[in-house]
Amino acid sequence: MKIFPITLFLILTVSCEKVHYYPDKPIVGLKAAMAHRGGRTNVLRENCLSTCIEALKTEDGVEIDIQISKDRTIWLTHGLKVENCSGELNYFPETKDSTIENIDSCNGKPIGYTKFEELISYTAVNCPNKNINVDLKGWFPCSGSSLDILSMMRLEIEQIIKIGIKYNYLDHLQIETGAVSVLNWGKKISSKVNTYLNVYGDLERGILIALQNKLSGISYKLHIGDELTPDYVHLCHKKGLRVITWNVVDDLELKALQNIGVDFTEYDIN
Amino acid sequence: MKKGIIYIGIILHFYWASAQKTNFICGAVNFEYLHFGICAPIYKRFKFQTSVGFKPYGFRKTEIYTFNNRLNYQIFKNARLSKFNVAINSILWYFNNVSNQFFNFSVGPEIGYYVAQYRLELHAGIVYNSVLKYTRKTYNEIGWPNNWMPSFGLIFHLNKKQ
Repeated sequence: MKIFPITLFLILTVSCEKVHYYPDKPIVGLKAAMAHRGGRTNVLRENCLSTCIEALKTEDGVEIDIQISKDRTIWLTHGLKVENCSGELNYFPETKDSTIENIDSCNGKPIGYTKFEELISYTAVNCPNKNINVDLKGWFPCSGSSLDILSMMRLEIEQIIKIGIKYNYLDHLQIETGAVSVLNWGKKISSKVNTYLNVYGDLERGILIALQNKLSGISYKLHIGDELTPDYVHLCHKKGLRVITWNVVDDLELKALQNIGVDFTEYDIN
Repeated sequence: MKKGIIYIGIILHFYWASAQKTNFICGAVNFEYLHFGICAPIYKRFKFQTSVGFKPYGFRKTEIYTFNNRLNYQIFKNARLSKFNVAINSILWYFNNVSNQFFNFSVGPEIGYYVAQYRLELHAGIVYNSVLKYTRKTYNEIGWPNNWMPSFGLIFHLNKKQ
């Protein structure tokens, strides 16, 4: 029985911490303004090379949306399906490059698609310090060949990283998606890749998942759920997380978000 | 605090009013901390332990209160092996420090072993945590309980004198 008080003392002193607090890794906010959907305007088309080039002249970077084709090529597009002059064709993962490349114009207006590699090769040479946010999206599979969406998204992130490494541009690429496993897959391929978790509404949960998975930061959709206060931005920076916000349509809001230290603000150019 | 006193009163009442095999228990467990309660045989080889616990050190920085319920089952009838038991442990716990407040529920399996003529029970297991309620108090820290945590410790059984 003499062992009882000694054991009691030992157990109480070696007790596990019940709540795991993440260590501080302070960083400074970047306050970059990113042109949403490749810098689309009322005149310029979204997610195409010429629009991106225009946006990169004035902004700190562009945000683009991508899909992967059947031939494993990454294309800039916000839509899930390939569209030509007659309307929607098939989903990107089930469409060959030759079909996409043949799409050029419709009634005199250009409707062609841009390859992700074309944008990166241009940016790496002409404006190597600008940033590109890449939004990885899923889709609705319509046949067995693209049923495993997560695997296809892993292929997408693999291709993006390969291109980033090829043009020595990986440091300026921010990859964002809601699928943590895809981001973790990307980190396995290259530890230098910048990974951001898409967060909708629940900031606290998003920050925790990002910290738990050692991601670069969060990409937060504004105007739904929790308000992104300066306290939250400060907390993220204190813990080493960067913050992307989207989508801003108002210059005043853009300035306000930059003032509270948001790293990348995606906004629509008026 | 009042609820805690009422709970201890109920425990003492059961202890003195129940059959002689009901034990008063006090223990130290890494998860339930220092805790006090009763252990009562309920059906054949099943025993039920209920106790309340608190963290007795670093008290000013972090408050932890626990409400623990453990259902023990004696696996073997054999005299030597009868010292082994398996248990399901469930813990409701409250955590409060300068940064956060958590109200959690944990549950998990354990294996126990009696020593010193059934007066001391050693046990070890694993528990799964679920956060029931979470409140942020400052923006200085962010943290979360791990999903799985080990649970181990010892419980002293005080038999009533016959």
